[in-house]
Amino acid sequence: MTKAPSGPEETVESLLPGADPAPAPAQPAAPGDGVTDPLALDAELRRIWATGPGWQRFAAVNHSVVGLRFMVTSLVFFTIGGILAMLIRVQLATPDSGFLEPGLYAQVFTMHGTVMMFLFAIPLFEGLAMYLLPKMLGARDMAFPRLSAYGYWCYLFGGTLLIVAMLAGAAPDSGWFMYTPLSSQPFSPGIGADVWLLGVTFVEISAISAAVEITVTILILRAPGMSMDRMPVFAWYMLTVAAMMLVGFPPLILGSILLEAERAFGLPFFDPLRGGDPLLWQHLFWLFGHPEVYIIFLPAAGALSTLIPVFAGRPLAGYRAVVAALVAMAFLSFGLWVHHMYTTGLPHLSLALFSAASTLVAVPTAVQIFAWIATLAQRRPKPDPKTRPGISVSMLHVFGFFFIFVMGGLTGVMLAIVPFDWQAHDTHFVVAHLHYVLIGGFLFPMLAAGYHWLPLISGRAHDGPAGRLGFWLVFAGFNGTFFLMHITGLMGMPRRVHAYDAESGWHWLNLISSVSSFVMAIGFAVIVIDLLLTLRFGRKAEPDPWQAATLEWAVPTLPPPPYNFAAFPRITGRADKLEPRKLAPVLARGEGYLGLARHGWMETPGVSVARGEPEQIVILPQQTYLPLWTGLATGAVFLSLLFKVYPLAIVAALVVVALFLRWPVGDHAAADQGELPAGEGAVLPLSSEAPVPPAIWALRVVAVADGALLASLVFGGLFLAIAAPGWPPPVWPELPVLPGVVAALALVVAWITSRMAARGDVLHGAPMLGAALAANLATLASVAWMIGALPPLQDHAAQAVLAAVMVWLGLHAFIGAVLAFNALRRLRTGHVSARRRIDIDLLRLWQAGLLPAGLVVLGFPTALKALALAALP
Amino acid sequence: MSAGTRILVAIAGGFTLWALVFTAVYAGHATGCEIGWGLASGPGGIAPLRMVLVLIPLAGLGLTLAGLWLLRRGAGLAPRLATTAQLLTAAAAVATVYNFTFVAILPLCA
Repeated sequence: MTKAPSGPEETVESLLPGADPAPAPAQPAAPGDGVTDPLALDAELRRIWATGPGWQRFAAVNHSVVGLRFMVTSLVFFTIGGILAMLIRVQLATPDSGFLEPGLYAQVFTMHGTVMMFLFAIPLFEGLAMYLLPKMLGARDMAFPRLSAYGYWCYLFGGTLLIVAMLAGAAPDSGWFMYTPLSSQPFSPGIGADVWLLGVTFVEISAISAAVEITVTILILRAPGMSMDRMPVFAWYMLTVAAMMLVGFPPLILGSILLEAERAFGLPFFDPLRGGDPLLWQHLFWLFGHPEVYIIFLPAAGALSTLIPVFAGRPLAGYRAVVAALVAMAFLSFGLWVHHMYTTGLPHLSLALFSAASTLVAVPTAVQIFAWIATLAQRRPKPDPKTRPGISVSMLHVFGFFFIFVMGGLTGVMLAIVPFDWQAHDTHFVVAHLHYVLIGGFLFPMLAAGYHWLPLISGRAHDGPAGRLGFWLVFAGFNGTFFLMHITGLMGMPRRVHAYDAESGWHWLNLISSVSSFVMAIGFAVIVIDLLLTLRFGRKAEPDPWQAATLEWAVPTLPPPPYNFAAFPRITGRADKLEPRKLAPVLARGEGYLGLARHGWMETPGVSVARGEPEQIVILPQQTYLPLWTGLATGAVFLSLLFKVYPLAIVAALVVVALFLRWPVGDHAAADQGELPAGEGAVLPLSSEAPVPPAIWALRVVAVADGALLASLVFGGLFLAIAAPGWPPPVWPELPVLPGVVAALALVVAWITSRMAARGDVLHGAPMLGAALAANLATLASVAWMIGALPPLQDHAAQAVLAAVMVWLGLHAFIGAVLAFNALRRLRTGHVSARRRIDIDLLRLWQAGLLPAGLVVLGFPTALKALALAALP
Repeated sequence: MSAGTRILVAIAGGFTLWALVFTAVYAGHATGCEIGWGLASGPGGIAPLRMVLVLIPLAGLGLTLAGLWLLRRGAGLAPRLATTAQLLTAAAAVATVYNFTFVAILPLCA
């Protein structure tokens, strides 16, 4: 493998001192070097990367297609959520309204929140990130296109499950936060709560998939030379958001699993009569729920940080401070969750801890806002030449954002102060605040982003006044709707009430809110019509119409072809100071890295994390129905759980595993390929032969989410031991020692044998792989033994918690066994060699992580007992 | 340490320490109150829990400042990343002081 040469244009500092790539010796020319027929190259690349017509669309994995599907589907769910909001406003428009009966009203407001948070906001930015990131970073697709497609199907099926349940009158009705005990079986006996718990968890698979996908893509799928400090700021935002998702979503997934286990099997995690605690749910939910607000805001902020400099005609002011602010915000956002729980009776010192963190998070938010204002202040926004002089529709939405989000932020600081929150808690003041933050901080920036990137996505330029009219209707309608809720909230109107008295004095304010909400809805309709008219009748967009300076505008055509770039440039400076109009024709001629079409492979460059030096040629998978089938099988698991057909759930889960085992295929991996020319003198290995291929990165990233889930589980157990009533149980659930020792030894054996299998000539590693497989099965059997030795799990939360951590270990041992089996299988079929060792390295990495985690799990019962006994009054 | 790991540590180190201190103080406070450390009297009449809750942030602050000192000496990062890392670490130190000062003042288990 060689480094790319430093040309005379190499003027920007490299990332690490003394690490400037040395000029490389002359290398054999790549097959695509010096391509003289761009049209032929374009045609061949289109053929390789295209998504087929008709039914083949179900096999699409291309990031542009999947990203657009995410966005369009999320907008459909947004429409549904919006209609539900209209129903709420009709109900509250007049006192003592009989428009919706109380049970239906509870379903409507629960589904409104659920749809907007889980089915609209998160998938919309996931789709935007999937669509934009490869183009912005200089790649032909995301790192795992099939994972994107699988995530989409999980999202679609999970979301559909929730909507169908609502149409069938079986929607959840406990609020979008599903507080226990209201959502527990005795108080929500139907399947509505199960629909929420399983449907949302199903959708969360999509979010975790996207987080893995986004992280790995940003880390290693960039144009050569694009070191981390040269990345466009949007990539920093999305990298931070993806990391937050990896840590923030597992507590919710865990909470949903525990609550479903309580509802289905009677395991009393949240039942205070049997050692559980309803507050555990609130902790797990808000451990997710508060970072979630920032997870939603930061992608929108990333879009703002990208498009404001374009319209200001100058680079983002305070780039370093902005990156520092968003990283700080990501951390601080995890220290705020209890500010949703100020009224639950926590000690004052704990409240102060969270109140301080809650006020602190305003600082990095303000840093970003001031950076945007400074960027705008240093140059007048360019007039939009295609509309009347003045600011563009996109910038109108940016200004809408400033006004609304800053107001929401200020009321957020008010609510961070404990005494004020005690007064305003669970009133409409909070409803006003959260809508100012979420609509101001997400919807307006996303509308700005939509208009900004509309020419890229559609190839059409936006004209006409309808966009402006839509903005003003939404802006006026929004403030008319939600500003007044501050007042009704301060007057004492509680959230989630079905009706109120005529004597309350809230009547006129609510009526104006409701009328304004319809104005806002009309505004959204105008925007939709405006966009549809643009798509249908808009004139063809010129290249880089905004004179932006990021790589996504250097694609050869608008909209971009499925392969994005015919070749990749070497980035020698900041990737938000490029000249796309000059770059695009050069790349379209195939001048640069990988300007070739070889063996029908879908190639994109893989680079080192820090310096962005080319390290591998990543071969991406072609379109396939596997993600669809796997998504359907996953759906079967969730439906079986919903209808409590547990044997079918197990069968479906095994089908999912079997389908996943079919994923790692590819003719390029069936034989050693050696190092291949990659253009610009570089000679690189394929990803299947690279030391650290994308799959290894993916496993490292998954380990973060997995660790967060285990940490949440351990936290939950320890929390119950010291905070829940009825601890310790009358008879402590002792686990047998022997299987614990066997499990510990088996974990060590699996780790050692997986390491030995990965050493040297892996072709002779079959016995070691077999031993690793057996050791994992031994762990699994030991775990089953220990769970079987516990007293009835329904009797007390202590044994339920112990069973839960043991299930975690058993599941991981099972996955270890599957990985060992897969490596054995691939070894036998010739897909593993001394150069092609991904399957064995995955197993080695898995076992290396499982060993310490497994020992923590095995030691957990002792720690739990010690803590429970120490906390005895 | 690889260049990627160095960047990760430099960028995230300060606030990772803040997060660890936050977790330790919150968990220590809840546990200490349950097991009676908040009521017991230690050296100088100070409750053992108070001492623990003060020492944890102090240790975190010390490590954060040490990290900042190392960054200012040069951690082998490109200038833009080095500045970002220093900003973040300094912010983490300020956040630690702001967030945990009151553990020395407020009633422990009320």
